[in-house]
This record gives sequence, structure tokens and C-alpha cells, in this order.
Amino acid sequence: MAEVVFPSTLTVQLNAYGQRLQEEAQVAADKATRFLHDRVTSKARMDPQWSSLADAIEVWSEDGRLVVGVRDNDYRSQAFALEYGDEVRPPNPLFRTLTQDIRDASDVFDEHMTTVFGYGRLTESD
Amino acid sequence: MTDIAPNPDIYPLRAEPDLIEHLGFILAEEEALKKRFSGIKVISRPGYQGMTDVGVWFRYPEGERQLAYPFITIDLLTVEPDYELFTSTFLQDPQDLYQPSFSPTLPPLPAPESAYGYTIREYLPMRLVWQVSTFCRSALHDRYLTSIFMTDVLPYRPFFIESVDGVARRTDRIGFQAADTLETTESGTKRIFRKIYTISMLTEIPQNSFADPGSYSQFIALRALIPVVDRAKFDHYFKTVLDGHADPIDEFTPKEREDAGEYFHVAHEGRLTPPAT
Repeated sequence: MAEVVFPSTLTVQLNAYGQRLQEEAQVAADKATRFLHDRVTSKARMDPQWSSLADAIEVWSEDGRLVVGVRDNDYRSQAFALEYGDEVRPPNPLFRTLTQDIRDASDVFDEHMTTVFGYGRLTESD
Repeated sequence: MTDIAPNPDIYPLRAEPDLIEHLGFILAEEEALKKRFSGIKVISRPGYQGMTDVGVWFRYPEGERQLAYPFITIDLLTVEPDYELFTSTFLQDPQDLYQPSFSPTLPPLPAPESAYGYTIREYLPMRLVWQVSTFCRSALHDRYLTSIFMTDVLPYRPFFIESVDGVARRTDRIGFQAADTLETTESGTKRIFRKIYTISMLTEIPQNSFADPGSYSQFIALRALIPVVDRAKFDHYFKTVLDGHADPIDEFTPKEREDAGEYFHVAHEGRLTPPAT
């Protein structure tokens, strides 16, 4: 019967790598989230209808998904009316026109992870 | 008042839309959307055999129009380039280029013999995003329309909408929102059942056309010379006969070229065909 033996140092390295991966992924996620929030609020401030709601825009995690929107009850109905419009005002979408901004935020995440780990490397010291 | 001459930096337009036939970028896609939603009917009321047409409007109907519920509105939200689908500058051979053969947005191909050497850049993928809303006065109509929208009209999975120009464009439903509201009139406040669908359609725009003078004169080959030379003398032949000489056939006598190592040559002289106007 064949037997595969791993040196104990490899196990230690793998655990350390997993731990580092988790930590850096959290850092990258925080960077991407801040980037997205800054981008969305900047766009809101440039729009005369959305500018008053810019400070109420948040980015949060819900059910494992990243959500960007307005949670404050004082501003939710106003944001809804702006986003979807009504019989008087046409829709002025902000949150449904973030495709490129989300891709840019994803690039921020990837850039951080690439900076820390590079490509195909077990540890950054290789 | 004198007429202002067309801006030569813009005209002739690369793909001018046709306002009459609703062809061209954005017009064709919106016409396809309106066609998809047109002809939908709901029963007037339970137990009654009559059917009511569901109207389709671009934007909310103006105040002076008499509102007839239920109805559907279409709002264009954004026009975005789909950068993820962009390729590098890719030159396509017009012989095997995909091109709607009956789309008047591109000029017709020139004569076949002058098409050699023509190239055209890859189309640019674009995304059009619309908000489609249904407005109903009764809950029954609202549920009926929501049901058929989910299963047939705007299903969850990507589907294709064929436009008036014969091009089937992939469409995705990317959002759904219930947004029931109230309508206040002189006779009181009434419930309005409103459902909002956000859809995205993938389309494309041309970067240039076959009639562009730049693409024509840039790529067509007017002259070609293929000299067959003694391998041992090729470097000498190149430096003596070819390098720096635009017309070596006329600049050197056959004896001079033979002494330089040439066995024979093949020469082609094309003819420049004016671009289509």
C-alpha cells in the first residue's frame, strides 16, 4: 500500500497561509467597500436630485451579499421615489447604474490580493 | 437666414437612425420592446367574457391623456458600453463578417472586386437598460400581469427579443420591485398596483463603415512585387534593388536586376476604386 507523508512544516505553512488569506481578504473587502461607497456618494452629490441624500447612502452586507442603498427611514421613501419615479417624475436611477462602479470595486479587491500574494505563490516570501 | 453647412467632422453619419421605420441604434431596440408588450389583454372583470387591451406608453402618459388601466410604461434608464465584452481592435474580413443583410444602418457593400482589402472594425457591445412598469387598478389584473411577466413576457432566464431589423438581441431581467402606490384625484384616493421590472438588452454599434474613406484607402493593396532571387545574393539584391526604391521594375533594367541575383518576378498593379458615396 502506498503511503504519502507530509512534513509537519508543510501543514504549518498551509495553516498560516489560510489564516493570512482570510485576513487579507477581509482587508481587500473593506477597501473595495469603501471604494464603492465613495464612488456612489460622489455620483449622488453630482446629481441635483440625489445630492441631499448622498450622506444617507450606505454599503452593507446582508445575507452574504453586498448591498448599496439607503436604510435610514427618514430618507428611504424619497430615495425610492427618485430611483423608480412616479407619475410626475421620471425615474432617476442611481443604484441601478452601478455596473462599471462595481467592476471597479472588484478590481480594487483583486489588486490588493495580487499585491499581497502575487500569482501562484504559496507564501509571499518565495 | 442662411442654411448652416453640415459639420464635416460628423457627417455623413456612420449609422443614422430611421425615424420613420424605427431602425437604428436605440430606436430598433425600443420598437422591439414595445412590440413585445403590445397585444397583451386581461379579462375586464371576473365572470365577464370581454377582454381589455393593456396600453403601452413610453414614459408615464401625459396628464391630458385619459388613463385607461391597466397599462405598461417603458423608461430608458441608461446606455452603457459593455467593456467586458470589448475585444482588442479586431479587423474583420467583410467576406465572412456578420452583418444584418437588411439593416439600413450600414451602407451596402461596394462591387465585389473592390471589396478585397476592405476591413471593418469589430462592433462595440452596448447595454441598454430600461424600467418597465405595470399599472393596474385592481389586484386581479396586477396578479395576472405579474404572473405572465414572470413566465412569458420577461422570464428570469435570459431570453431574446427580435427587433424590426431582424436581429435577435439577448435580454436579461435584472430587477423586480413591487411599488404599489396611491393616486389622489378629485374623486378621492385610489390604490394603484404597480410592479417595476428592470431589464438589460445587449446590442452593438458599428465603429466604422465600409464607405469610410479611411478604411478603404488604408487597407487596399495597389501594387505587389514578388521577386525570386538567388538565395546567396538576396542581401545584395535587397540593398541594391529594393531598399529605398519605390518602383524597382522601372528603375532598373532587366539586366541590372539579373546581375543582382533576380531569376524572375511577379508584379501586380491594382486599380483604385473610389469609395462609395
